[in-house]
Amino acid sequence: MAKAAAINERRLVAEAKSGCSSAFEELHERHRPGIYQTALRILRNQQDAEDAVQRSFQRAFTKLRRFRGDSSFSTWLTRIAINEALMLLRQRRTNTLPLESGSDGDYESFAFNLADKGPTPEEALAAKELRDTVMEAISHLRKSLRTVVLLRELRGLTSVETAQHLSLSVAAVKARAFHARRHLRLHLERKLQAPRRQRTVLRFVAAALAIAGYGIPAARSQGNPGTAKAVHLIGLTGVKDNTKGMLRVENGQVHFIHGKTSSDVSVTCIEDVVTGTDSVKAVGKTIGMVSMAAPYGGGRFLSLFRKKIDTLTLKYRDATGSLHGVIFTMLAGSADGIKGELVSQGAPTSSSKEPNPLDAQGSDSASKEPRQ
Amino acid sequence: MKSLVIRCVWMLTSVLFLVAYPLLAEKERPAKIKAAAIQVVMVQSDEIKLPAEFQVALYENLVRQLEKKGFTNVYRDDDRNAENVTDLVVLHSVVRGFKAGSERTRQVTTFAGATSITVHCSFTTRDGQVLLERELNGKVRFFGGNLRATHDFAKKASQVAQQNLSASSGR
Repeated sequence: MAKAAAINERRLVAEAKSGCSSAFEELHERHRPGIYQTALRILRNQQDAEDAVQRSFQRAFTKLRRFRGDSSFSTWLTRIAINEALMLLRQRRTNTLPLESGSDGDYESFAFNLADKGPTPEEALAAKELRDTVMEAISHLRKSLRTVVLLRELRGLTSVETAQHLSLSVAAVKARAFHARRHLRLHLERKLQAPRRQRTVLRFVAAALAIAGYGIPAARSQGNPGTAKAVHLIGLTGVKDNTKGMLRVENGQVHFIHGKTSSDVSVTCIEDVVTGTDSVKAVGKTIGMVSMAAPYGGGRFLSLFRKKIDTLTLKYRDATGSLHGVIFTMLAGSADGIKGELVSQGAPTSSSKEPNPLDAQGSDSASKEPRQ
Repeated sequence: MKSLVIRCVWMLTSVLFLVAYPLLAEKERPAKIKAAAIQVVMVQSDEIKLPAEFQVALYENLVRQLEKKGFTNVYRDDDRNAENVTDLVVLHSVVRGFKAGSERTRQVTTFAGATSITVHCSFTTRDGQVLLERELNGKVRFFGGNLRATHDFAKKASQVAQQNLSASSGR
């Protein structure tokens, strides 16, 4: 069935190439929803996504003769749509002006006071480099894996939808996605080891995680950096361990909303905010995986499918002066947003302190400890 | 017949020894320290690089496990309510060793990747006079996340407290 659809699509592309407008219309109808979803995922704005779709099809129409057919038409089109969406995103950032600060009578001072919120040329170059590297990594994947990555991670289809689209079982889709992520990680890690790329280390890691499907929730939380889905591990009075909820920083309060109740801590009572990233910088990797019940030995298989998590640790004092500690876990990348919001509202953090020279000795003594 | 009698005497002696030994041992155990309340001080780790989440988890688990062991008056670090309590025992914990294992390694190999944490616990009076000192460790070898090591330590520490402190009411 999938084979028949592919043949049909190839025929439509050939007809469109030869100038048949109805064939291109048919291709447009087929791929428009998927391309729209891809653009929307990047732009997060309906109007912009529609613009990107229109521009993508326009570009596809004009460049159709250059389509060699090495990949499927949808892959080629998705790539165009991603480029268009990213271009729109860049334009949107550079063109956004703070209108309220401008006035007709004082144009000069307004123009001079404009803060350019767009990326600097260096950032733009780094972003392009990053995009190219990620795309190159994707292009190195086997076709079967590449299709799954494009559909699932870039177009945002669920495993079930991808399975239906490719006439595969859901398990097969998940397995392919897993293998694709592993290949991408390996590829990007190799890139990381190249010394001339050291300055973009963090960007590559972010890209690897984004492509591996971990960056999407973090990107979502970027819309409101003070909010994230979290799991309460320990410490909050009246809240059970491992309670899932929403962590929100608002009006000088940290709210952990679980069910219909909200447990709050005032930002002024907080003594320290530390994220898992800070701990990794200071100590090394400690908590990186979500716990999952598995039969003895079953972990060999299950551990490969785990998602990376981040932690947010708060120390605060209550009305009696008692010291409390709370630990939350959340998807990688979310904790930094919450921490940033807390720090901006006046919460202190110890993570920016200079490293203690004694720390080096400490790590030595830790490493000397006999393996147990 | 004679051998049967000897056997019976042997058995009787053995049984008596088995029954009496724990009773004798109990008599030898020193008297429990009187503690109307315990105050748990935040875990210190000046010499060892310890992630903040471990420090907090050690502290919170200690408070929780002590409450579970029947200590009704467990105070946290700097709690103002503890200022006027008589027979207050203060629990200081200093991390002496930490080895961060890996949950994934544990799951994959089932024998490597253990996380262990060694903590020096000292129970003191309010004035700083040491009443009891112990070196305790917490480990997670097989199942669970790395933070389970802190739970393991807290259970051991609270057990030591239960065995050596008598929770008399002093408020």
